[in-house]
Amino acid sequence: MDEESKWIEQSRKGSAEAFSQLVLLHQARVRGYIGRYLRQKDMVDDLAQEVFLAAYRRLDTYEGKVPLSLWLLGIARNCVLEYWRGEGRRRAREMGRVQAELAERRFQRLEQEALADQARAMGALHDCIRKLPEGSARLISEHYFESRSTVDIARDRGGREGTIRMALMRIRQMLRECMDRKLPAEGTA
Amino acid sequence: MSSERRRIRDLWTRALAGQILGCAEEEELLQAIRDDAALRDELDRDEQLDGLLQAIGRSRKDAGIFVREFTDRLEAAKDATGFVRKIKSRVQGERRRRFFVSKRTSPVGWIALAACVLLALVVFLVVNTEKPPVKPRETAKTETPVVVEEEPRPPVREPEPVVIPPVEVEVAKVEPEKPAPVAVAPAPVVEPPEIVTPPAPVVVETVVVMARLEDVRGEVRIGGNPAVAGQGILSGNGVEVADGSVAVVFPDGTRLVLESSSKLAAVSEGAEGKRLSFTKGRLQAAVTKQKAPMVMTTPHAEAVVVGTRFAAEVTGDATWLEVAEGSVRMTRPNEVTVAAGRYAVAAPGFDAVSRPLARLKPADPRRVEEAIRRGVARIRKRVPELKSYQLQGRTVYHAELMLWTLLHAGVSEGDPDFQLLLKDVLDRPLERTYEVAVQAVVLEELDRAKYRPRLWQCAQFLADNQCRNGQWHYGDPSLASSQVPAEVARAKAGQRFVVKKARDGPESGDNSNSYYAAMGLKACSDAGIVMAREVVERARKCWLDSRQEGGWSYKPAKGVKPTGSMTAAGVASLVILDGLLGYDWKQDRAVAGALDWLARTFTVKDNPGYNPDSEGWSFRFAVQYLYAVERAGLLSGLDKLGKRDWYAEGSASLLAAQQPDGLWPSGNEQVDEIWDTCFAVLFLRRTADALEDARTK
Repeated sequence: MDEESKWIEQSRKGSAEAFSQLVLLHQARVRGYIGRYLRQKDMVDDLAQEVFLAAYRRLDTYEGKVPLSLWLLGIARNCVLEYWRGEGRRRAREMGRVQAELAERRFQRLEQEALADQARAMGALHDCIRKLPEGSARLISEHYFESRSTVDIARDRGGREGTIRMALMRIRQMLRECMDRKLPAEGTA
Repeated sequence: MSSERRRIRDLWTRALAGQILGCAEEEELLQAIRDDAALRDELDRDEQLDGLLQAIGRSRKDAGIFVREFTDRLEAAKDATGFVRKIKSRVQGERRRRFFVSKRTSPVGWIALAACVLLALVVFLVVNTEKPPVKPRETAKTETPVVVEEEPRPPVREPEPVVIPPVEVEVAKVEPEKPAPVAVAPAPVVEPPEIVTPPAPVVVETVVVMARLEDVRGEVRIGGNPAVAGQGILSGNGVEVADGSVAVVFPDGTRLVLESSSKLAAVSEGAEGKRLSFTKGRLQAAVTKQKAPMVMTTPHAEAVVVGTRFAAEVTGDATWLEVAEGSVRMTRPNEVTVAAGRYAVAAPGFDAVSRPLARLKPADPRRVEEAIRRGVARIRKRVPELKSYQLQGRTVYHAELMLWTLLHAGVSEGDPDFQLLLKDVLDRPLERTYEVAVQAVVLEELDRAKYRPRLWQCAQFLADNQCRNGQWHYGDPSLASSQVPAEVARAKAGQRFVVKKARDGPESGDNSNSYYAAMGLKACSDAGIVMAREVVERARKCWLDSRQEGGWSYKPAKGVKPTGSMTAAGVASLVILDGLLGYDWKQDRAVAGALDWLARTFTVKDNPGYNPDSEGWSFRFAVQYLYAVERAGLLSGLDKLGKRDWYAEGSASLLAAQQPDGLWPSGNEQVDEIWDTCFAVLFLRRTADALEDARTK
């Protein structure tokens, strides 16, 4: 029996410690998945905790027919949709028409996309990031992984904030083209 | 790529970055997305990828902290589940006993006897069954009242309305290792009632410990008595820090850190949530997600918090609120939501407006806000006078400039001083370019629809006072501007009107009046009152033709050097005029050259090029120069002139120069002191960002 299966078994018997190991193993994927749809950073971890709590309570229903990660993402999707149908849509509207429109389209994709397709897209994206030129990779890392705002990046580089935004858009275009080459046309996220 | 596509992409990337767009910008972006399927597809895919990248970034953050927080939450949930399971078990036992008795009854003749037996049995059981005392739990940071915490989740929505002692009472008894002098009455023994009537909850609440102190440093008091770590705060009590700091920690993990000279006058919690009365000092709050919103009141404000991190500061005249995570909804003095990275100030006479912190950095936003309030207080003292004064033989009024300043400082529209100024402005006939132009800017910002007729009059006045060479002079009354056409008075939203000259002004004017006129033209155009193209083109040509060494002076003449204030005015004017004509100012070499000139000469100490011996130019206008630089900078989207951060340097200089009475000294004997004070406030407030402020208000 592998480690994950042992932890699942122990978790079913009530071991919080064992379940914490499962959380550690899968938290990145669940939080990342939710973070893709929820732009309110305060809500992402909150919902992610809801997902793991729900999983803990329903662990007896997990039959092992799909990987645990996928099972967790299924719970995450339902949590995110439920949030969107409740408070999420209202909060998005408070941020303006464009933000509300962006959020609507995001959640429409959530309802339509298959979880497995999203997992493949993430894998392809990781590969494509590794292939970026150094400067572009650095900019992506500063903005998305170090959470530095375009204003701060521009200030440090002595340039204009608009230039940084447009540069990020061009890099995203490059990544997009790379992913299109890697993934089949139907099934890209 | 066309300039139109570039613009849409600029708007798109700003929206994607979470920046707030103005109403017109939102409409423009949404329209472009609706009309162009290819663009829509491109932006959709861009947004998807942005989301994927955000997901990767999110997934890399703070795994350890996330897991720890989850473990705490799981423990709390399990403990609550166990507790409720006990209750459920007892209730089910109760039901089984009642069911068993009812099944043994026989019809008719035995019913009455069985009913009596049953009733006796029930009474016996109810009277003699004693609830076991709730076992003390180990104190956990995330301990919460059971029912409230678990309410939305099916496994724990069990409890019948059986009365149980609130958990808080048990919390008071926990931690025997900390001999803090907690004044908590012993938990009352709750006898199972003969009839199911809950004990009066009021008695329980008055002995509830709302929170405990941690990290006590320096002089901290509860109820006037020295307090120590671990000590509890009873409902209705507060804590004061004279010198030092303390953390106030609630059972649900909410943490408030009070700094020196701070006072949390009262703390309470009921079914409607936590209530804080914060009366002075500085407080940092990390609020866990609340079932019922927490409400914090200060002498100036009321804020509703669901779960967030924020800082608050209460001084004698204002409350400052700054949000780091989540959002806070201020409900007093007015409704405004303050999101992460933004702040709002509540002060008497001002509307609370949510503004981005980053905009004022690296200046200290609190010092900036305080300086604005002091300046406004000084300006207000002059309002009742509403006097004019004479400048070089001309009558100059202050009301328009003061009104503009109060508007951007955030003074409420209903404020008596504001209304007095507005009435004076509207009652006076249109006579001078400066005043008419500033009036147009103010009225368009206040309500372009309501004031459209007046704005039409302003536009006609400006058209009729343009000089033959394209400049504007000080101005003369215009007959054509005195009568508003009926169709303008009846205009519906979205209608546009073109204004043409009814007459010409003198041969030439000056660049200062021309600069203000350009601002007035823009304001009128934004309200749908569009200047005839030939007027705008003539104005633009005059700016282009009158450049000297890349900049501009007050009045172009041989040997006269450019000045900072007029060069900045030229930049701002050309950006506006190019925009009105549909040109891309970024391609305008005159603008680029002038920006270079400004970058080379930028200083906060004076108005570059100022020459006291220059004919017709006696005034230093250093603060007006700074304001003109800001206008040029914000209109052209430049945070820096070369490598100089004009706002950082300008705001630092102005904050240092403000006098204790709130005024900024003008350095010009002939010019009223209020002028520089108004322009200093306008600079500090970054007035050209007005649209964004209005959007977030």
